[in-house]
Amino acid sequence: MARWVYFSFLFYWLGLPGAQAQTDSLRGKDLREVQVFGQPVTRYAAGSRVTTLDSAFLHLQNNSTLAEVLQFRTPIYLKTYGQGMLATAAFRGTSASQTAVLWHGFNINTPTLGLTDFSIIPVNSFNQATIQHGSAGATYGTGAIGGAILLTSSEDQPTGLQLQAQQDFGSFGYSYTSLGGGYGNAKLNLQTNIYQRQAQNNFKFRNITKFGSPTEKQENASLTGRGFTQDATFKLNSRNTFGFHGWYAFNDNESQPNMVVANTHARLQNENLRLMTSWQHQSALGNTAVKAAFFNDFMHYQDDNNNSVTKVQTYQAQAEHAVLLKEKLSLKVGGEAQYFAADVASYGREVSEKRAAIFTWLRYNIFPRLQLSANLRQAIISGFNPPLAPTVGFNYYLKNNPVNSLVLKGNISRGYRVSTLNDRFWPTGNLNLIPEASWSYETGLKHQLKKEQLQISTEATLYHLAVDNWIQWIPNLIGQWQPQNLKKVLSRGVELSTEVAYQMQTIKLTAGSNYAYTHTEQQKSYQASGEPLNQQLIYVPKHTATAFGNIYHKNWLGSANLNFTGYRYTTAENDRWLPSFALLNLMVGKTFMFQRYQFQVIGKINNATNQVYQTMEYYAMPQRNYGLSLRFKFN
Amino acid sequence: MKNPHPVKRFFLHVVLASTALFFTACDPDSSPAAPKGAYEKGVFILNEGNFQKGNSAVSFFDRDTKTVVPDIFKTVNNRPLGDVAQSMAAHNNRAYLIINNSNKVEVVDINTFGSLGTISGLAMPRYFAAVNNKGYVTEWVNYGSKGRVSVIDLNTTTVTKTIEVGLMPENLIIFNNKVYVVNGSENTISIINAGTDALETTVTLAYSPNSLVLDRNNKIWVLAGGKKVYNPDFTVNESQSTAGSLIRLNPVNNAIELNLPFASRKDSPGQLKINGAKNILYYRYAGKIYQFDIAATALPTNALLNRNFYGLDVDPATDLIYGADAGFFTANGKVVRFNPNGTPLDSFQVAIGPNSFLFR
Repeated sequence: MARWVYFSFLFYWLGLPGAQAQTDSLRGKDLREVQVFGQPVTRYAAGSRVTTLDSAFLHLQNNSTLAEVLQFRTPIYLKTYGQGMLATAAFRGTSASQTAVLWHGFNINTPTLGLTDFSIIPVNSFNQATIQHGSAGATYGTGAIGGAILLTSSEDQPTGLQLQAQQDFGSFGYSYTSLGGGYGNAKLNLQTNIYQRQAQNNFKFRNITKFGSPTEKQENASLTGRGFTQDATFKLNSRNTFGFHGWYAFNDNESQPNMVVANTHARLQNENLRLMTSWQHQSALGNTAVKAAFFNDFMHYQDDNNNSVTKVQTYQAQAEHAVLLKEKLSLKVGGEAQYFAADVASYGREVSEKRAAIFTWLRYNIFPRLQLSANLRQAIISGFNPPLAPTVGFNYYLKNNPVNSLVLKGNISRGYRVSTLNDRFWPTGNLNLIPEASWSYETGLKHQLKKEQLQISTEATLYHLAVDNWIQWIPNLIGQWQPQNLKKVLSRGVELSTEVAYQMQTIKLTAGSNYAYTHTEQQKSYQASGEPLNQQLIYVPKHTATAFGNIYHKNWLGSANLNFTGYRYTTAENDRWLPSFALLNLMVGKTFMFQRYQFQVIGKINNATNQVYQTMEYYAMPQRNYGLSLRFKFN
Repeated sequence: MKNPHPVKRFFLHVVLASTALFFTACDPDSSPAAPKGAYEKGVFILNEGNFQKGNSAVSFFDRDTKTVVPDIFKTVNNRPLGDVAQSMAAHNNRAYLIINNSNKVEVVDINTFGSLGTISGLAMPRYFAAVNNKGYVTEWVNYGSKGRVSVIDLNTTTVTKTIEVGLMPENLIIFNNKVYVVNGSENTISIINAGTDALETTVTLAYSPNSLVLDRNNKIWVLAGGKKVYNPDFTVNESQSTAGSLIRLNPVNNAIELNLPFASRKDSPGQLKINGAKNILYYRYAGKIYQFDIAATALPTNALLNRNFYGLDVDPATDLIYGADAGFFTANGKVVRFNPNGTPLDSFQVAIGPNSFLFR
């Protein structure tokens, strides 16, 4: 009911100025060439909270993983099973598979598990990370329930030749080596990066689960990873641009046993090859983009008693066309198709699946003060179509002058998630699962101040996210585990953020903070699970906060990053919890310049306050540890 | 809690001390024996918890007050019990907790539940029994390889010997200085001499024996699940599977005296238990609970309880039937009690995944 009230409210906004705008529709014939591509997909996300990971931070942390940077810069709770180990996201209180991760517009959540392990996404494999908070099925398709993370390479292309080399060292046998280069001219741009990373992770910890709490050295937690990325764009002429992105990553990681279990020498290997190519064409009819991608995902899990190999090949294509219908009205229509071929030993047979979707996105800047977007997607999967996914949203500038702007935002969006291949084709899988579906409502205020050397940006968002038909594996009568559409979950919360930049002669200061309150509870269970209703879900912290401060002075830089994670219940009854913790990472660096050569030395102290903490119960995490980064750059 | 005022506290001490003096001075012989611990008398419920979550727990139920302490090991010892508690056994005022995925046995004082040590060096341990100050632990060791029984010196709580048995050894009982071990993934029972700790003989019974009890006539009853062959979708291939059976073994000559096959090839009977008088058996079959008199010669057709339980037992003190409902393992399970005739009595919440009981 509330949904329709909200819709009519939004359509009221849409309809009223729309009628007034009719008079100048003739201008629509005069299709002017505009640079519509290069416009981010978030252009169609009016009214929702979209943040970007600070590129300076990504650069400083280029040897780390997406898990670590998300932990220090976003309200997303990373469920980390040990140091540098499997890390999955709980975004706005949702499950690990309810955050979509897209690379150049293609979903990289594995089709078998339906999630991304953020510990094997190195920061050097992307240049930009955009975080879409809340459901956005119309724009990002399956999985975008709690939110979406969009990874792309840099928009800034190099000119001439650039070279980089980097060597990092750290505590517990940590080492990271990377080599990179780029070349650019008016037509061609190339960027290459290759890296290798390893860690012993043999840190000491007190085993509080054993008699006498002995100090032990962590076993079976070493990491090895290597990979490369290749980006290329070729501008044939002013109308046609071709692009290519390749990303290969290999990870061979031991799986850290927790303090309680026997070490079964678990090991997880992942090999991911992702290739995509694009063609963008501009004409009087608008802008057309055609993209094709091929992913080869290999996963091998083994321990003393198990050996499981998963191979999935994904072929996919997207085509979209954007037109500027009127001065400030842009429309994009498109479609995509995917084909999965899975070779999973446990399935007992080869499994393939075809999926398709059509979408249309509209952005209308009716007045300078009012921006609207309305998007729609329908995915088509034989046997079970996900629900039609609409989004409508607005930005209304309550105040807009060169110094101050204040925007009121509102958005309502449908999200959905198609069950994974494991959910359906595992021997005890369930072919009758229907897609999870969510409705997300949010509203917020964003204030920006630009005054001489000072910039302040502050945003507050309130959301209400209802997820229905939540899929969970539960035992059946004969004790076999099977996925079911089990729950209806409601998540409500507040997200606050502020960022400040101040420039003063040779000193530049930047600082920021994030706070999120997340209340997520099961409202309904479709089977008598015994799990109590209206209790905070396990491993969803009610309070999370991050803060950072950077100072740049001449060739020096100093940086502090703080993560605070509130208590998290570990039982459905909310009678046990993990205590809250705060992690502080510090960095100091100096850059030496000799003509076109640049050397940089960065020292790091991680967990500077020596906090003893756990993100997942009984998984030991290291206390204070150190890192050193030596970086060389030409041009 | 706020501390009482010093003067009041002094007064309190005086009163307590004089009361104690009064009682002890008055009639020391008739005063009840000092309790040996908070958990001297009652029902222990073992909760296996979730795999790799380290949330196994022992809940304690007081029959008189009907109160439950959800996790007594952690309450007393301030550390978690471990990962996947499989079973629990009592011997000489000690409790032995077999923690499968921690490859250990926790040893506690059964009255106080204070930790007395940990037996390590085990591989997928399952069940425990003791005699002659020696403990015997069945271990799977590994999937697909022969299981073993580790012999434990209960004074030093260390493994002194290992004895190879069949595939996936499960429950064991000790009778007449012999250890009877059912091998769950084959069709045999291994018999070990508890004097020499050597394998004496292996008797072929029926496929997948999972539990065994000794009755009042000193006969051993073994419940076998039957051989199960699965289709690719994990349903049972009935044409290639065999039905389970209830078997009476005479330990004097290791002869099978009675073999009662079940009707269904699909379902596996399990959880064989016996009452305090040792004349009535209880077991789980096809999602229901059945009762069987040891004098009977045919399996019952009517269930005692039309309900499935993850764990089952009978209180020898009261003959009440205890059923453990583990639900979906996502929240605390519960225990439902039934009168001997099968009418429900009451229920109480325990911890995650209750699987077995120990009555004291």
